[in-house]
Amino acid sequence: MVNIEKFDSLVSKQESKWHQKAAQRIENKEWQANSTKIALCIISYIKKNKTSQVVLAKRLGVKPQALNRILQGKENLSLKTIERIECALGLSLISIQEPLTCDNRLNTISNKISKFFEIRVDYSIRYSSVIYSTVGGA
Amino acid sequence: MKIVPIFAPQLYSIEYSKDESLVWNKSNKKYFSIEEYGNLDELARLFDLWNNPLYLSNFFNDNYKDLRYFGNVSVELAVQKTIETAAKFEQRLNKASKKNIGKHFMPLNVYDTKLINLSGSKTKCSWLRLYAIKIDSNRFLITGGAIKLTETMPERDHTKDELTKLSKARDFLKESGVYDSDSFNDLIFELSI
Repeated sequence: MVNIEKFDSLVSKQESKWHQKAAQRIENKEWQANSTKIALCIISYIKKNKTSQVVLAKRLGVKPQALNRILQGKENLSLKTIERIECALGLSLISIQEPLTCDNRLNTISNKISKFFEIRVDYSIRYSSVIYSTVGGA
Repeated sequence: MKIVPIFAPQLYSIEYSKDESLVWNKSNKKYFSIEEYGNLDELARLFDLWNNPLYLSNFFNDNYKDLRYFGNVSVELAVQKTIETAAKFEQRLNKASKKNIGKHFMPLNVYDTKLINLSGSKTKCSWLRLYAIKIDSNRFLITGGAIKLTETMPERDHTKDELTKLSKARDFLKESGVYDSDSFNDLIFELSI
C-alpha cells in the first residue's frame, strides 16, 4: 500500500536545477562541443607527457582552478586563450578555412577532377573551361 | 535526504545531504567536489558529470579494463560517445514528461546479464543508467545513476553503491509512512538509453 499524501508531504518546494542546466546545454551546444574537444586534447597531452594540471596551469599563466574549468568543458574559450594553449602544448587546436577566391575555386575544382580521372590538369582558365565541357558541365 | 520534483507528479529526484557517505566518499571526491555538486539533486548531478570531459576521462581511465569489453574503444571515444548519449537521454526525458513516464522505466534486475557491445556495427553505447523507486504506476523517484560497464551491479563499487542508495531510499520512505510493503524488488526500476 502506498500513501501518496505522505509522499507529497515529503516533496521539497525547491525545483531541481536540472531544467535550467539542460536548457543551457541545448543553448550552448555548439561552443560546448568545441570546448569539450579542446579539453580532451589537453587531457590527452597531460597524460602522454606525464605532467600535471598544476604544472600546465603555470605554463599557461592561469590558476589551476581556471585550467580545471577548461578541462571540464565549461569555458567558452576566447581565441587568445586558445592560442596560448596551442603555444603551451605545441599543438594546433583550431584551423580557419580560407575564403574561396575565383582562382582558389578553380584550383579546388581542378584538383577534384584530376583525382577522379587521375590526370594532371592545368588549372588555367582556358583549360578549365575545356575540362568543364568534357565532363558535360558537371 | 530531500525529494525534489522534476516533472511533478510523475518524476522526482533525491538530493543527498552533504554528509551522505554513499555520494561524498573518498573515491568519488577524486572525481568531483562537494562545493560544485553539493547542492544538486541526483538527476542534475549525473547529467552534469556525464557532460564533463575531465570526469569522464578520469572515470574511463580508472575503469579501462571494463571498457575493453566493448571492443577497441579508446578513452577519448568513450568520453565522446557518453556525451552524445547523455544528450539523447536528456532529450528523451524531456519528451517523456509529456506522456506516460512509467513506460520508460524497466524493472531492475540486479544480476542483469545483458550488455551492449560497442564493437558491432549496429550496436549503441548504452552504459548510462538511472535508478529509481516506483512510488505508484506513474510516479518514480530517482535515487541515483551510473555508468555501468559490467554485467552485474554488485561487481563494482560504484554500481554496488547505487543498490545501497536504492535500499536506503526505500527505508526512508517506509519510515516516513509512504510504504508498508516489504517487497523491495518490485519497487526498483532503471532507465537506460
